[in-house]
Amino acid sequence: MADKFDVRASQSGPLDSAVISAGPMLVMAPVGECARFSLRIAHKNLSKAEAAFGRDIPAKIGEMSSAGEKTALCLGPDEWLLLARAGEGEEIAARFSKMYAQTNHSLVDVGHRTLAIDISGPAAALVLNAGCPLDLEAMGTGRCTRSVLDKAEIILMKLAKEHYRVEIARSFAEYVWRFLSHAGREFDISK
Amino acid sequence: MVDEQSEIGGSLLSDPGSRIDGEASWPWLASTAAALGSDENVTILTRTTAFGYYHQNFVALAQRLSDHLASPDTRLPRERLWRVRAKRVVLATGAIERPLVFAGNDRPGVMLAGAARTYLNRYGVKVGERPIIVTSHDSAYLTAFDMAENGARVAAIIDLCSDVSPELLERAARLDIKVLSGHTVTRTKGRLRISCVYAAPVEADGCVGRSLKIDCDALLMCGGWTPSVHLFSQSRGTLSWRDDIGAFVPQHYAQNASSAGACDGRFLLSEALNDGAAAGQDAATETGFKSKKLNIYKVDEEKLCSGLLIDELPTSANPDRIKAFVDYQHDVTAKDIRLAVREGFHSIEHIKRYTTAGMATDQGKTSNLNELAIASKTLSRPVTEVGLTTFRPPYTPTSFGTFAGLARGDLFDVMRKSPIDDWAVQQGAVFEPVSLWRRARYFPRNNENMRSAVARECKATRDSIGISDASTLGKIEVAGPDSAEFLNRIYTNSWTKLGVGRCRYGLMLGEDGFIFDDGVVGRLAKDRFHVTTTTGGAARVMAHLEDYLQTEWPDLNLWLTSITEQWAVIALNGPNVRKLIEPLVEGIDLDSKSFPHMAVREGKIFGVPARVFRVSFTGELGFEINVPSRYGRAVWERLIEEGAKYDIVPYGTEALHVLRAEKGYIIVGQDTDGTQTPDDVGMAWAVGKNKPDFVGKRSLTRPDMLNTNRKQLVGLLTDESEHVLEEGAQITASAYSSPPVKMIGHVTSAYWSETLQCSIAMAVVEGGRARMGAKLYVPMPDDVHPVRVVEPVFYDSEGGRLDG
Repeated sequence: MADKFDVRASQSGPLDSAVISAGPMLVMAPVGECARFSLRIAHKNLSKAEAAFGRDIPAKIGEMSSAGEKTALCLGPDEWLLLARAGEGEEIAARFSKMYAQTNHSLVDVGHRTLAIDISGPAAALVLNAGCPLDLEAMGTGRCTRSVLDKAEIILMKLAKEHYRVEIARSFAEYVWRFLSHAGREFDISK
Repeated sequence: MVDEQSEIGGSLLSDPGSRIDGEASWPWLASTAAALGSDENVTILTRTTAFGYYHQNFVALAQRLSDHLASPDTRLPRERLWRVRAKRVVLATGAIERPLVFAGNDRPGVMLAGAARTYLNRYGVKVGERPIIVTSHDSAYLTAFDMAENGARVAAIIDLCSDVSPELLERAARLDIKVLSGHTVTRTKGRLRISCVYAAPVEADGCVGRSLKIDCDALLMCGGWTPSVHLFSQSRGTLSWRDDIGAFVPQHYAQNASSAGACDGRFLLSEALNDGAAAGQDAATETGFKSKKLNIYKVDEEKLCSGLLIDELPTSANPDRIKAFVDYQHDVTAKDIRLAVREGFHSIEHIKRYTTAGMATDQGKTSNLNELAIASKTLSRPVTEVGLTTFRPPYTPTSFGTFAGLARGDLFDVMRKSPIDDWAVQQGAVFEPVSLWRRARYFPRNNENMRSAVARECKATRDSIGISDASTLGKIEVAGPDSAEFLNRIYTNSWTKLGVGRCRYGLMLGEDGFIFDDGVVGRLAKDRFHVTTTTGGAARVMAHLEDYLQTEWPDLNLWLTSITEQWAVIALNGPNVRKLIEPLVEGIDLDSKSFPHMAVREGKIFGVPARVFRVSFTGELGFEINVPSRYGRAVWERLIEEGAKYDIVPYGTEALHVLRAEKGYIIVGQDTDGTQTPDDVGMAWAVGKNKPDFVGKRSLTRPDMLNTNRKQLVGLLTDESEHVLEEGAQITASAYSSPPVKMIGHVTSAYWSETLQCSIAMAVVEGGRARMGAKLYVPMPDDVHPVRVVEPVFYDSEGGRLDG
């Protein structure tokens, strides 16, 4: 049997040493660990998925629903990203697994696949626009979408008027963090 | 709102004398700009040039952010590129003053009248104490008046027009300025700076009379105004010629845009203000905003300035002996243009290329129309028949840095790193790029070179245990009731009968029948597969699979999810691997019976959830341990610790390549180049003979695919066993022959094999399998290397070592 090994303390990720930048114009910080699943299921079976997830799941692409620490993002005609508190993943997976025989779907744990960066402040949209072509002003609060940030694919969530969250694949995170830091540098300068 | 100047206001900034709605122009401008600036939904970008106007109202802007600062903060960007997709564009690009073409117009002190007026009114610089104005247009009088009112003694206004309006003459007289109407300039004089001008009357028959010398310290010229239609033309709009102003103006719009003011040939200040307001209101209404009732601006005592388009000023000298400059940047003179016409260049496009007029960095902004007028007169054809050159972006030179933006240094490109990358850095690994990833190539110890490091890594793996980071391999989870059927159609192999918990090597073809990718696929459950791909092919394979699923077989019920980055993959190879991990894993029975070669199990290692594949890319007993990425580094380090008692050695991609080549395993993209069928690389066994169809199947039966003389994968052994061939080297059937020498194949992989103590190589050779034992040659610049064709499996061809 294995030696004692502290699993939780032994995790590592590319943004572990990222320094949170906080100024009056821009605040940027890596988001802590959470459970993530990519859910693929036929639209007509959505209510069953809601039962397994334990929260509402939005039906239209670009919509996002949040309750407590559970969030569901509709990314495609049959594609959702489910977010939950770290540690809640196993329970959610087990509930979906139980319903598979009656309701085919694909629930894949992607908790370690992606990382998230929180970016807020009056300059947040401008800094994101350095690499993302979307009209962020026209994007409604509480909306989400797949997009690009310079050379990386992202999932972008607008949490509030000047508050965004960017989900990035793990191996792109260092690049994206550096890109956002460079793009945001001019807002650190006190006028 | 975009303005290339440091502040908005355009020509008003140089025109303090005008009065708008009874208010002086500068206070009016200040309050208007302030009101606009305080609007939350208005973004004003100054020092910003709209340099390109592309399809669908896509406008590119170059903003200069810090070059104007004396000591800018180094964190400030110098320039920023804006890419704007506008619903509607209002062009208010103004007009550019034309110079006049006469002998000596390049002497220092000769400048545009409008420039002198801007210097004076905007920057407080009087360009001369005793200026002369030469003009074919009324607007230069305004410069003369402003100069005189600010203390300059204007020596004369030389006006090409003989018919000058009485108001202008009267005001000139009041300021004691002599007006020589119907006069021309025949030459200028002055060393270092202009000192005098020779003015001469032009008679009604065009003859130039006796010249009169007038002293001066500046000569301010004006040949009229050319509407700036560059951006409009870039948007593919078409122009029409207006004789009354001697210029082209916008006619048909190709995109959703409008023009206001001087760029539309409407030069009055009131026209600029009212056109601009109307165009702004139209744009706002069209894009869904409400607007107030328009104010009609009134400008006091406004008078339309008019003038003539003059090709070249009349002169008493031989026009072919004087230097009258048209293009100041490329030193093109009027006689150069006449020469071009004489040489037979009759279209403006040809004249331009012969003389290079308009081809400098200003792209002919001041010279184009003068050039056109001279060509038109020389050809005795109207301007519209001589044509107009095309305006192309950028409007003004734009630095490469603007386009590069942040993409330099460590932001030049993405460098993807595995979860174990940090550890490799600490160990002093040498890296190599593999697509966007970087991977450890070898781990030198004590200043080893690559060959000895790789030899040591290979030996340790064959003797005991080697550990390597395979996290970059592409991984896709395929789930849903039709997963097996989908894989049947995508791969050449058959998947239906693969048992749960078993793995199979899969070969994937393109529609063309050539090898596209390969990898091991494990069946985790009846409806769930874990597919692996090559590192470089991961994204391509995912797109290929989604493409077929969405467009060819939408009836199949399954889903694909990329899990490349979800799992860190640690490959352990060597006879002692089982002994090492047996005590470390939970829930997996490791003995050969319950966990045979090519099987997959789910369990835990060090308490961390793991997917363990028993596979081998080295020919040794091998396990690939997948753990969630954030645990990758810790699990790796613990395995190194635990493996110390077996002298575990980390190995990089180079040793990996050697070990697999000893076993004859191909690398897609190295031993294949997109022109190999499964049979070409000796993998006909991987093609399901009884499958009704799979991607690429039909192509495999085309006549050329069945040709027995196709290039086939073989092994090569060099006669000089120490000599490692060069990858990519060509292969010939004879040692020395005169050119042309037929190349019958090339080396795809070549290494020093520490295990076999000789050099080994893989190659593709025409009809290679029929040449077993034959002697071939690899001619290189230094020597011709004889080689023997052998089976491409160099080591343990029975596979006995797979069980440890």
